[in-house]
Amino acid sequence: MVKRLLMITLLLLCAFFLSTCDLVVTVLSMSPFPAYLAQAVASVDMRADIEKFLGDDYSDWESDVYVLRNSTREQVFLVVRKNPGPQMVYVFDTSLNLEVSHRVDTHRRIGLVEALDENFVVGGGQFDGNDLSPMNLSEEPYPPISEDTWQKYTFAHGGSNYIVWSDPNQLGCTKYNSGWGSPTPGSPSPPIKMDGDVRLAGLGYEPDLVDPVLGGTITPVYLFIFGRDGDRDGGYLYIIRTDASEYPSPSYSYDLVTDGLSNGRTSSRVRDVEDRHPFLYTRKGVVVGSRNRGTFRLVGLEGDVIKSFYITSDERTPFDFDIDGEYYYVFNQATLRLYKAETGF
Amino acid sequence: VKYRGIAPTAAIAGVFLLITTTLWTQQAKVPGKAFKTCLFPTADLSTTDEYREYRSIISDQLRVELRNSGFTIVPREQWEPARERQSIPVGELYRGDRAVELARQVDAEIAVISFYSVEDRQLVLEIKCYDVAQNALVSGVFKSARVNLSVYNVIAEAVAELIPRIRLIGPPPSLDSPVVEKIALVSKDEGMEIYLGDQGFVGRITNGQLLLPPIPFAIDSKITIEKRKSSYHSGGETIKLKDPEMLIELKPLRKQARSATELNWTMGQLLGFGLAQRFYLNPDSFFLAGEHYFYVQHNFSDSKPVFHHDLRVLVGGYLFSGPHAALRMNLTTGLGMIVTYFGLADQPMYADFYWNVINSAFEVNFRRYMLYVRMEQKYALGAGPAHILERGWISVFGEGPSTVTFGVARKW
Repeated sequence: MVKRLLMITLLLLCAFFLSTCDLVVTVLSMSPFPAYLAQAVASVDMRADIEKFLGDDYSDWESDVYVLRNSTREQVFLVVRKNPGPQMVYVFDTSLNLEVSHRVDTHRRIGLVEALDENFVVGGGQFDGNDLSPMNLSEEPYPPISEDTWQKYTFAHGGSNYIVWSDPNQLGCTKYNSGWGSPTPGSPSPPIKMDGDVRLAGLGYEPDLVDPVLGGTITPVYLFIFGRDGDRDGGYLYIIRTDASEYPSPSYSYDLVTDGLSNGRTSSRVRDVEDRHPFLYTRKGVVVGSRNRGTFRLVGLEGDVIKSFYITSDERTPFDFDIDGEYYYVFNQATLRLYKAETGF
Repeated sequence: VKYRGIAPTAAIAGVFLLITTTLWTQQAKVPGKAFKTCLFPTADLSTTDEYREYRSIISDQLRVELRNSGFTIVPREQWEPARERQSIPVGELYRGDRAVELARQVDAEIAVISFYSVEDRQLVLEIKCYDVAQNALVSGVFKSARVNLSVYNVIAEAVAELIPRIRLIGPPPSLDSPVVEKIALVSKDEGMEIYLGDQGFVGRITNGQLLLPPIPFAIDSKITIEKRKSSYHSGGETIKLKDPEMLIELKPLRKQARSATELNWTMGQLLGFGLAQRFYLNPDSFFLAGEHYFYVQHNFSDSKPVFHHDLRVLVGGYLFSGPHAALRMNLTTGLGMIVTYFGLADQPMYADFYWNVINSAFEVNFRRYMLYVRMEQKYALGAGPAHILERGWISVFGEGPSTVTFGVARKW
């Protein structure tokens, strides 16, 4: 009897030990189905709304998910876009309660918090906390419809809004005022030089942090620079810290990746990443795609790999993370459901 | 189930084999005594004519091999008149006594007979060589194989085994050579029938044993017996006769499995298990299977688990080796459906249909059980009123398309 009790205790201890082992948990969590299904804490069925919007053009459409945060709240945005055609913007709170939706006739991909009034700007719409209205963004130099707008990223600072992109061998930046009506063309001659086959693959920023050394507030802007390793899928990543006060025309004239920045910092090289999805910033680290289809990595700002995790192998699935890295929001285009899932970071 | 186009395939393979064998034996030719040899036509003892093309393949290969090994083949024109005089049907020339008698009349030293039968797509081939002067069996080869392309390898092996033994004939054995006086076969397969070459049926195992009728086999010769029992797979066994009195324990026959129950685990679906039932359309060969795999997808955190029921129907069969083989391989294909429901509230139920394109399994085959590892390729159809998976390969953790399943099966 005592032996049996000891055996049971031993087995329970082993099971407990194994359940705390990351590798065991990872293996047991593996599934042919998307991981977010089992990480979901909430979901909302958007089938009726989306089918109503898409109508007969049901076959050719795409979607984006944005999670944006201003000083008072965080909002989740789902954008459903006809190809070609208008787009529908749905606004949710973080419990996935649909607050408002609005149809806009432009085809823009954009998601940021406006600098002065902290409105959310998504697609072609502007959400002030109550209503979503069309946004009168000048088309110049914002990309035309046909351009791959994944390669343009935004941040806000000091009452102005910025759009940053990479041209061959250099970064470009355009500054807008809070009303989006008066673009100040960037002067990429050269704002930041980049050698080699590299491009901007994401951007993250933290507005108004207290500088631990100099005091006062700073807004670090992290540039996620992706470079190819020669083959089609794989590449490497540098995370480069810059300062928002330097934009839109930073005065650096030497190579960004090789030499770093005078006021910034360049991470070590992160290898074996891929750029099918944009690189996403959270306070727990940067989420980057890996060469293992559907698997992502959480990377520290110094380039250290914190962990690997799986979301889904379906490349059409859009998702975004909250700024704290606690949850992510993902839209399944087959079930037309928006999920809120735990990251486990 | 029949292989379509087996005849042309067999013909091409036979010709290829013949050329290969001829070329090979040209190099391996060893001069020896030019025994005058009567090679009689191969007999097909099958109940149908479906497999008669093997007659010429076996005969031709024997002829080529004997000739290249230095034997002098007596042309059919020489022994045919004697056969007609004695009214021996060609179909009976597989019998040793008839063949030896005919060979003696044309002064041949060696008589070679061959015969085969195919039942349940299992080919049993026997080739025998007689010393005409001694009226004694010199050598025999017994082979069995599934009817597929491996048959040609088996024929080649049988011929290759036979020839060296004939070369060892040398001077005829003395009439004073010792012979076996008593052969007792012991087996746990009660009621098993024993067949012995041209003697045919010689008895069945009763009370665990069978005493063979007195046949004067030479000491150190070999005999090949065939074992048959209802609901069991037939088997052959070659026995070397070392002593005047032999007590031989026969290997047990394998029972024909009509069904099997499987228990399995699949990578990526480890929080669960699968149960499957096979129904053999042909014992231990072709089968239909139904499988249900239940598993839980869980993140081990505050989130709720997801439940999946993977239901599929498969059809498949074994390749390359028969039911006696220790290691077997099978292929299956089929259709399936994964039903998914959630622990999270207010979620609908989903059904994902898929094509299980191909599974390849390797089995360790025991008498009652099988252990297997199976590589599975599933392709989601992305169809149906409520599905989660988009069209494409179903993969685990981003890797695809193969999934690995480990399992155990109990045969019934």
